Amino acid sequence: MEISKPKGLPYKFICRVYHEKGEKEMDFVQRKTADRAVDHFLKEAAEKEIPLVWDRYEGSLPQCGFCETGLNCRDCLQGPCISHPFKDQNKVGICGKDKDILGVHSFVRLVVQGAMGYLDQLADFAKGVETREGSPKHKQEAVKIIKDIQSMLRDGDTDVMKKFPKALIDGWKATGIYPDGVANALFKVSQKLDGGIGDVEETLLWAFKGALMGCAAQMLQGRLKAAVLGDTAPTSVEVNLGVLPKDTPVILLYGHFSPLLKQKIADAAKGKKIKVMGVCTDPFIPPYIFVPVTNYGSQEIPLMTGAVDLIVTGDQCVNPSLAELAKIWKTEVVPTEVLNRGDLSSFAKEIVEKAQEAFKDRSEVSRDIPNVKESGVMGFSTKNIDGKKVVEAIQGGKIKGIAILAGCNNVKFTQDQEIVSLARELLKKDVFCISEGCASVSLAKLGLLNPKQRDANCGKGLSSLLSSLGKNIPAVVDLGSCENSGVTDFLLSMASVGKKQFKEFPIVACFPEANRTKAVARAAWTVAMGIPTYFWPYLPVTGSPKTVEALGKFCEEKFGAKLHVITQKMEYKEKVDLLVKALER
Amino acid sequence: MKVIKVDPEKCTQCHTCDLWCGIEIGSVGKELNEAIHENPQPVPRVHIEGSNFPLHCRHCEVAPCIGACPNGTMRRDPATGLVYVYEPTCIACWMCVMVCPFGIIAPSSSLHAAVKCDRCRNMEYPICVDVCPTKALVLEEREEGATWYGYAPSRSF
Amino acid sequence: MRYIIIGGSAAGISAVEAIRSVDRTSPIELFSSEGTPFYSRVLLSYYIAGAITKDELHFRPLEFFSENKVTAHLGQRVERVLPDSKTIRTEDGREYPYDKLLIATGSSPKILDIPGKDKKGVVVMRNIDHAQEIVNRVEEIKTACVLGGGLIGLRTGYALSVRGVRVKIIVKSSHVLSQMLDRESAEMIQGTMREHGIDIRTGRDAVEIVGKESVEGIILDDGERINCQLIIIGKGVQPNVDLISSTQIKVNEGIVADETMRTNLPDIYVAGDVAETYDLSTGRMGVNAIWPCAFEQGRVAGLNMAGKKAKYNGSFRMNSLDFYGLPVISMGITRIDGNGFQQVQRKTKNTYRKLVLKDGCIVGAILVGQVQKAGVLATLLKKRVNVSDYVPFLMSNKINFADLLPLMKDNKEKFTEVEYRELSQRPLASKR
Repeated sequence: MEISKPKGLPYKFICRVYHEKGEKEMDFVQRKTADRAVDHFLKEAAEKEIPLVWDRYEGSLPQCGFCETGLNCRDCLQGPCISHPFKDQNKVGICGKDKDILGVHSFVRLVVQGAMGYLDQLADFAKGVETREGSPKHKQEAVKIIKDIQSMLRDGDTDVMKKFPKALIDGWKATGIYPDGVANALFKVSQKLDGGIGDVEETLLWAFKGALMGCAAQMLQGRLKAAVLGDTAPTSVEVNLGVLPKDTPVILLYGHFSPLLKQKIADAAKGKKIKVMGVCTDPFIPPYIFVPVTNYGSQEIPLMTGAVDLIVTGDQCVNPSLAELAKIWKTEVVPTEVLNRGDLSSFAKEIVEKAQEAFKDRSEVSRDIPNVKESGVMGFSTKNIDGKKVVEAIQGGKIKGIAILAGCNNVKFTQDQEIVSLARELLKKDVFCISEGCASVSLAKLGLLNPKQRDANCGKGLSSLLSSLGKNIPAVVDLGSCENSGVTDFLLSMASVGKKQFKEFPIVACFPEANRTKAVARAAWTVAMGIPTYFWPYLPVTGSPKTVEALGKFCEEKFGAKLHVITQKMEYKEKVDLLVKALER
Repeated sequence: MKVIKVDPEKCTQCHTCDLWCGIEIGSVGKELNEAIHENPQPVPRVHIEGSNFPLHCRHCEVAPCIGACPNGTMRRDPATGLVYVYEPTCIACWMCVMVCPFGIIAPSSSLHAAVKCDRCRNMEYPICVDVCPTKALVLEEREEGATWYGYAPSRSF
Repeated sequence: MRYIIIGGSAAGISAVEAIRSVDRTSPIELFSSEGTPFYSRVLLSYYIAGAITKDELHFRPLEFFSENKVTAHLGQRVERVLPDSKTIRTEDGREYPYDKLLIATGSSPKILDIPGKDKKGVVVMRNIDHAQEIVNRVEEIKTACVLGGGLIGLRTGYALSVRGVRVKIIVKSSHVLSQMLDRESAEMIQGTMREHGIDIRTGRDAVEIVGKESVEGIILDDGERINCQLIIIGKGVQPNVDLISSTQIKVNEGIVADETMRTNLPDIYVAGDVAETYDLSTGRMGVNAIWPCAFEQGRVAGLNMAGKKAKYNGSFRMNSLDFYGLPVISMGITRIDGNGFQQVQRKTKNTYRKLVLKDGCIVGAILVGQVQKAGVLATLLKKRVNVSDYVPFLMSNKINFADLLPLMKDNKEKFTEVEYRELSQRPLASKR
């Protein structure tokens, strides 16, 4: 499946070509994935002409330059407007938004949608708890948290935000971005897009306000989950396609939806020899573990094994293409976010029944499960990683600092390659890496969450820290799903132990293959916390030099950290140098 | 000789062609994020005319611009028959602007030169045709029997 | 077939190219009274301004004559054309026979009869020697006066001003460029020039040039004396027709040409500033001493001389200029002197646009500031298209070619060039 590249085009037109191991790599060609299991299916998909994300990406090239640089707006019907960089007649939107406002609005749009993603997860879960769809393990705690949620939505007065260092909170309040209720912190931010007189910096601060609302939502989600479902413990799991069974019904949970529903599905499937696994979803819903079969970039691939009988799909992080693919392998599709869903228990029972039916109907569908799997320890939390030891290691110089690896996969990069390469280099340089969500799954797939491979990957100082933290600590510590605030809680514990601000610690956040709007919101609140953040691919704000500068200098003034917008193509070694330099500041 | 023809029914005025012409041909940096901030502003060579008609230089058989140009800045490439602007000698007199029947020569005061599509003479393939998302632009042979009979020196001028 | 071409500027060179596109082998002999071949007169003011070097004045490579197998007799003035013997005679008495002759002798500047005109430092700007004289002296000149508000004088004045010379322009009419602009547009140009330090005196005339051997000043008709060291005379040009004075060739304002650029005598053709052709804007015969017209006329004449039929529909005046970043394009009739003309004007702070119409057809246009797509107007003028329905569109800044396609379809018989037919893949049936 060769796509020929006409000469004279800029490097930007990366042509992806599937190639087998050993074939010579052409200099303008980029591999689709670093995951062997996915590789196994790409050739088949090409021969059978089954379109996957990579094909649709190639077909979309070149992508609209105006949208890529953030110089576009469709917020009203007088448009769509662009700011044409080479013409003088349409440089400013019809309502008057100039290129700088267009750029910052592109950022605001993403943050608002991302923050709402976290609030949606929280609201869904909280509603389920309130209507007694499940019996909380720690009832008092759950009630308290529900009250906290209501208070946060109403006027922002929430205990969970008070866990941040006082100086940080005072700084946020002084800047005006301390979230004070969903109306002010989200609805109003969204209306900044409708117009009004403002400048880039003020608008940017509004975006950070919305992001902090999302941060509060994530923290409440984690705490509510612990109160309702109980604590999780680090567990060794096997990831990748090899975990799919051949002879039993398989239900795959896709995307982020109510943990209560996930629990009920697993309850209904218990004892019926049905395996319930997950893709892009929180693997730990006590007492169950939904093994991550794969992560975001290859979410279409498990269907191609033929082993999946039914998929349960939320909305967030789910590719609509799954519906078409499922038809080819006769896999049943059950979306969860539907109108008139009814109560969760009956819904879950329905799902399990459908899965059993589907398994019977699919007996002649051939199974092709590559024997690729890797084990990794996932699900650490503040309770099992001693923040004090980490702080001491930093102060003693044993480790350079902490790197947060977040984000999922982005088809613009070779799947998993960026995250894993960066992690490997950082580990060698004695940087303590913590990860979450799909980033963890990428690392797990390539062995970085396997305690046995720890010492081979880590530098000496880091190795000694990790062995002091516990028996089975892998090279990179996974702090849970991106639905919960494992990373934030850990950082808070360190801050309270070390009695310092985040910006005074050597911490850096990196989104090597960012994708979703939730990642943009995440990056925004990470910067607001004072942690320098590196985000790839570059945010669609480059058409506005003022916005790029504000994300740099202005954020540094206000928060002590920059949100880096990097447009130059960089090899991962250069990226690592950037990250290490940020730690040494 | 091949010329670029347009199918107006397929053009969605997305401006991808003139954006990439400006980046790839008009700019110095040749990169999206560099070109959009360049000074002097890059000038695209293709214009979306009317409501749905991207228009390029027609490389006329009898080119009025070559006739009007007082110092031979407008030239014809004898190998390909394409008309191009030899930028080092353009004195911005705008005689070519005054005679082009299609009005596709852009007088650029910032570059102090006339700017005209040369059908990506130095590239393998015209970039606008390549990037058009709806394939509204095509590269096709000139009409049967239509050869240009303007004169060309035996070597490239 | 022996071709002789008298004149080595735009028309002559264009004729050579046209002949050679058809006839690769027959001998061509070219006679030019000037020693420097194929330099562009239009560029002389840029040479004075220092924007180009002397070598860059050439509009064809120096090997042009050898590449095209032309025997060039440079610096040889042709004194006489003898149609009865089909020969020409040069100044040194020699005679050359021809089968086809092209007269492209151009024009010479009109002499201004004013006391003191022979002093050193009085220059008529026409050819490269004049330009060189100015360039040689430009360092020592403090003030220069330009007599006449025509384009050549103004260009030279602009060039000198760019070189740091204080320039004063003395114009007899009420505004500069009275042949090509109207009052509103000329005042915009004058405004820009005055902002940059050029002094423009309108409604004034110079009556005497004073000084010893070299120019030291001029005296205006109101008695004022202006001190200057250089005087440029730009009072117009007249066709060089002396060489045919004793022949039967019909001469009016210039040598009269028919549709094939032939004179009334067989085998004798004419092109360039010396030719009088049908003027598309006025509807009468006239001389349009314009570089692109000379080029086109030379091409048509050459093709016809070589036996390939070509038609010249006519010429019209067109000029373009760009002073201090303000572009101006003017074409056709801009001064209305009678009934039957309509004019439509639109003026903003920095732009001006005027269309002159007769019977619904464009006969003239002035554009200041927003000059892009002026060629479309020129084509509509040339092809005599009735644009009555499109006037507001043509007056706007959104003028473009594609929106005129329906108009061109209605006048299909006028737009026959292949480039119109191959614009689109599909027949341009409907406008969206």
